[in-house]
Amino acid sequence: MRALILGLLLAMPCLGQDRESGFKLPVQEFVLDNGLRVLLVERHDVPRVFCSLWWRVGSVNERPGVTGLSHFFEHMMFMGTDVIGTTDAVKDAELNAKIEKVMGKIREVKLARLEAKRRGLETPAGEDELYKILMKEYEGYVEEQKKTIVPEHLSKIFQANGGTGLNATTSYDRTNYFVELPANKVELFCWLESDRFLKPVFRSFYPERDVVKEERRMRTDSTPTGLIHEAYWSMFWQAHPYKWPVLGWMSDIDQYTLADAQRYYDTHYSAQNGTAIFVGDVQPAEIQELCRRYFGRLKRFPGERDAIVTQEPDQPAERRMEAEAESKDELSVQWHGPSAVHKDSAACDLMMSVFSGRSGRLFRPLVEDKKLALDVQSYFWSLRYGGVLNLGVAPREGADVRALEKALLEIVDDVRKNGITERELDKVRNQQMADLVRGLKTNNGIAQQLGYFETVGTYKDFFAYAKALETVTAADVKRCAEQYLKPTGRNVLVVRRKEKK
Amino acid sequence: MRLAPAVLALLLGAPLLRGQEIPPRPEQLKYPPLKFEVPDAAAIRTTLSNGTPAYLIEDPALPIVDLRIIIRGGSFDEPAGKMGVADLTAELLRTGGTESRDPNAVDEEIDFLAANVAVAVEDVSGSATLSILSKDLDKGLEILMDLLRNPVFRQDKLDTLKAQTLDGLKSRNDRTSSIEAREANLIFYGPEYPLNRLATKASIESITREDLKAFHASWVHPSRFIVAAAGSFRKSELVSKLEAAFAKWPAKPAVAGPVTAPNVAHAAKPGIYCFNKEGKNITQGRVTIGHQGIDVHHPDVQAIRVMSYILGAGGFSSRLMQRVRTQEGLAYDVRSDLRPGLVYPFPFKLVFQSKNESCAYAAKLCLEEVDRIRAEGVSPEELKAAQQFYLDAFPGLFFSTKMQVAGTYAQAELLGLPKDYYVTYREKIAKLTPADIKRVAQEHLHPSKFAWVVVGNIPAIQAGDNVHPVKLADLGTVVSIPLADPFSLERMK
Repeated sequence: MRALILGLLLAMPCLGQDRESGFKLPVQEFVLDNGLRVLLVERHDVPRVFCSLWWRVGSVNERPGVTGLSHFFEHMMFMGTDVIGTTDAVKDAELNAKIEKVMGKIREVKLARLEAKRRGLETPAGEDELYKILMKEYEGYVEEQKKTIVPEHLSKIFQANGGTGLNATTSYDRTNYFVELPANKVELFCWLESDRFLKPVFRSFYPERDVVKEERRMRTDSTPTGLIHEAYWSMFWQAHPYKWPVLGWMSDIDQYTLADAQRYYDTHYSAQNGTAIFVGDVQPAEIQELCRRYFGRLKRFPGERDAIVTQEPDQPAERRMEAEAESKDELSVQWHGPSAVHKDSAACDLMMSVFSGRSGRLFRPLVEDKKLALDVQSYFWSLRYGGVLNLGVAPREGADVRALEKALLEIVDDVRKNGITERELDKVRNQQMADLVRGLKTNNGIAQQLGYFETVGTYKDFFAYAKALETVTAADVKRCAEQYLKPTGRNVLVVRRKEKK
Repeated sequence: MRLAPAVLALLLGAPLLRGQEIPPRPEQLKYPPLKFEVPDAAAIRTTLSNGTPAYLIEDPALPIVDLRIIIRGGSFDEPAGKMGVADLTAELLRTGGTESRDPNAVDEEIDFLAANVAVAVEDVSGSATLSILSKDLDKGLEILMDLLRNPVFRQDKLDTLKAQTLDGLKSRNDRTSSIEAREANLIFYGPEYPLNRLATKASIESITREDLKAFHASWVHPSRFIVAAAGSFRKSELVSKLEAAFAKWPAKPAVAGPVTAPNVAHAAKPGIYCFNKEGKNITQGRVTIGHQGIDVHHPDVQAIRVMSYILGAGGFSSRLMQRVRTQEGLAYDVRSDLRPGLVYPFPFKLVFQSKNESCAYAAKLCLEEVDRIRAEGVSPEELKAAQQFYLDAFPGLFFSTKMQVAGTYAQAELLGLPKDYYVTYREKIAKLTPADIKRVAQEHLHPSKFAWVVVGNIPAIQAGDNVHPVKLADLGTVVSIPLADPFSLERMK
């Protein structure tokens, strides 16, 4: 481990002019020799620690054919190692090899089916027979392997030690793993996390594909507008790898192989792509020693991974999607915005806040005066490589949605032409600053803020962002509105209720 | 920028706290003891001059104050035919203006202060909440109290809210999850229970400002409040401010004792009740299986909690999760839910979603796990792991922030939990034996009484496939029930 690098004590800027409103978020940082970053924030109120590990890898690092692999990999990381998840690592490895072999044959059958489908032909009868025989062999191995698998072993250990909220999430730019533990058991986190990221074993690989398919059915396929919003998102990103869903396309989930997962691990789960964040009742010297001892084991893989080079091209014309669903009517207008650490990021947050809320630009004109809408929302969602500026409206029953869209866009045009008032700026600045403070009320909330910035930049960008919120001017907001909310940059989604015949 | 003392110590080379070894297995780790004292509820509780109880905790960490006023009474108290009036009243208390404040001016002021102000109502209680920067606390309190004390429920705001509400009703059958939740309540509680007196188009349309005024008059009064607050304030000052505000109401003696709800007399008729949702995208069915359960005052509540944790409420560690998800890949979400009802009994439920073809098979596996825990009980190791979860997680479950401490105790007073409920929580868990768990499994899980709610593509769910060797009809009497009309809740033909 390199000598201790940075111990930072940073103060958030004061809110408004009131000195009493200032507060501190002292973040301590150090970097291990292998490049893994560690952040900690001491909060000694309750003997609990929110422990989390953030990896700068997500669906943006995938390619067509293995979409959703980042998320699937996250599931795999709960399957264990040679120590966790099995009572007989040797036998387990033997069976895993047999499973892989027969799955290779099954994959050939599946590819033959795809080929038949491509030609518009039925699958040859012999292929179906072969498939059944191979599946039977595969199922035999899976049954055999169950005898030595300890299901949910990792979860059981964490929970039996008072771990709460154990989970992991995958997004476009990052994957995070987290649990809150009693303050005396941080070493358990270091043990289990360094073990699984050092030598994961991808067991129960194929049954878990079915779990992820169920997750996709639950979140997307079987909801009224899941598939429509997925298609809208893919239309919004023409070129960028953000365009596919984090959960992956159904056809890809069915095709992941162990080799895909191994390659993915070797490429992305290299120590310098991770940040461990501890927030709660921690002693810095102890965390430093534990991290050095445990996470110091993680490898820094040779070779750099591919940079994300694709730039979303400037949109040449408005794009629209008009859909019907068994769902509420919906109107959404969306533009591309800057990335999270872009100098315009704070201004875009303030700009979108101007549109939101009961006292914002949209609510009273659209909902109460024109009676075209029932509710409004707006947000700026910033990612590592880009951002989404969204205005959403719930049309009132029977309202002319074209007229609603027109009225909405007139309000946007007004901000582009005439900017916003100083009072509006003060209001949205107050709101954004207060929301930042509210985000720091819990151990989890602090870790989420720091982790987010660690995966779009570094945690120092959090403080830079807070500072930028203070200095944005009304002119900045007007300039951003002109630059980002262009007519040709619009993406429009209209969802109308499908009426039963 | 300066370095924190702890960091300086690190720079100078802090001594290692423990050995350099990494034990081969995590079970070999040794931990220092953990000390946690249950916060003293009596020391936190104050009785305001008008009689309102208040749990106020100073927390100077952030320049912010969170205040929550729990209000006794809720939608169960709605007059006949006026279903939905509680929600409309709560929402319009926030947005409908006051005698001296224009509603739009209230919106502007709250937004400019970057405050969050909300009034909400549930079954037997409601709440008014304020989150505000501490420097603006006086202003925020003044607005909140005016909203609660002097509302005018302006007609134009009511009209908009009613249109929004009707739009919400229209979507009642859009999601299989909404259908499942509504039908499960009907089956487990019966149509007469107040939980199932739901708003209809007719009830919403019949509601007038006079109804809102009447509901407000019977609902919102400091004698029915319990206050919880934490943040950057001086307790004595906040007490004075609340006392001054509450003094503007006519004095009434504070209501004491737990909130109550009618008994649940209904028992579901066993059967597999199916609700068909058409749509080619409905590739997954949702299943809830259950019967009536217990409330939090049950003497075996801790044993039942632990039993349920082991069976299916314990997240990834639970038996259902291991069997149905991890081993069989049949569901993403599978769990049992035997939460004690807080005021009236909550049903015991098995819940999962699975692709249409495997719903019946997944259900069979869940039922097998119920039979198994009844017949075999649990192993000492399983019990110890579950007990250790509750013992170790205890501070995080109820006391993780100052606001959670205040909220936990305010809620305990509302529910009338015994004074020593949290003090003895851990000992009651610690002394459980495998025999206790087996006994409560047998006493509280009744497979012969199970009623099912199945929502999805029912023909596909009934058909199953050749891979999963069980059909829905093998598991009980299948009864098809048409969906309810979203506006009237009458069954559609």
